[in-house]
Amino acid sequence: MNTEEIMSLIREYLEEHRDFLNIRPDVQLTNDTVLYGKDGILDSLHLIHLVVEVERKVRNKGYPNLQLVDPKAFSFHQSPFRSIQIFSTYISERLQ
Amino acid sequence: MKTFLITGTSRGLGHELAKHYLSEGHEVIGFSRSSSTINHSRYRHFEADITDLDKVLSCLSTVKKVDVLVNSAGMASMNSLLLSAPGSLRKMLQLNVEAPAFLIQETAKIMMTAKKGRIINISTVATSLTLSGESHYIVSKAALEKLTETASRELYQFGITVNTIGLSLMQTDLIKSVPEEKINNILSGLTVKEWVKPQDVINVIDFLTADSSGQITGQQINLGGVCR
Repeated sequence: MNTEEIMSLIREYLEEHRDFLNIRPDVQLTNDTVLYGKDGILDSLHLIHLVVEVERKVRNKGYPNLQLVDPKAFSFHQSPFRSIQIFSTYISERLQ
Repeated sequence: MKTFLITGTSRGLGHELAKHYLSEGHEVIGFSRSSSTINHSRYRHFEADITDLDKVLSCLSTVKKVDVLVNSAGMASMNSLLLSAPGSLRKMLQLNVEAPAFLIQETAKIMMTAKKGRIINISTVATSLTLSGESHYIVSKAALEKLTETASRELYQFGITVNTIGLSLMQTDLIKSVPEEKINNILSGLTVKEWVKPQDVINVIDFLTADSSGQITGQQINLGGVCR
């Protein structure tokens, strides 16, 4: 999967689960949407849901051993959740 | 019908648990390093060393449903700290802590989709009794018990409970090398001076996995009348 495909997968998941994830109806989901942290659209609980679901969906696309968890992933300065695009790039790098 | 994932199903407690829950009409997924010792239409076996986390992940990628995880596989070492082999603690931590932690992590992801699940870690009353001559084993099982507590806090929000059962003396391979004198000393110090039977463990698992036990999480239930 390339970054574009992953971005699309993430946006689709967020769009489908807006209510469950408590995403306000007026929030436009773009590739620059901040996922978590300052101005983020998700709280910590819903971020876990997103990570687990995206990991599951990508695993089902032919990457059964994908592990999105990385000690660096949750560091403040290098957070991959700064935007949908950055998260997607992070995932596609882990697929290589 | 529930789906149980049980580690260490080739022998000992894991084997007895698998056979019991199959006889009750449930599905059982088993892990052990050796080939399957159970032949049943509702039994699925993974021949894998659970300390090989990549292998475990590959196996679990084909599993769609787990209601109950029982981390039963484990190893013991009954040695004085002064006579423990270099590296033995690392091996024990891998099997008794790292592997269960990874199984909890990956199984919880499966359980999250159902918004419910039960995880049970099998530990020992040796941690509560701080028995001498078992330092590496006790250290690893104490870590497992703390894992239960922290995982219970993190996973309850997803409808998953995590508890520990502390076994007192049970006739398994784990204690076959323990001298009879030591066994008798331990037994005499217990409130319940009897060997634990698989049915005693099943009784607690049935309680913890009941739909009505949703409030019970982060707890340790010791057998043999041993207080924590």
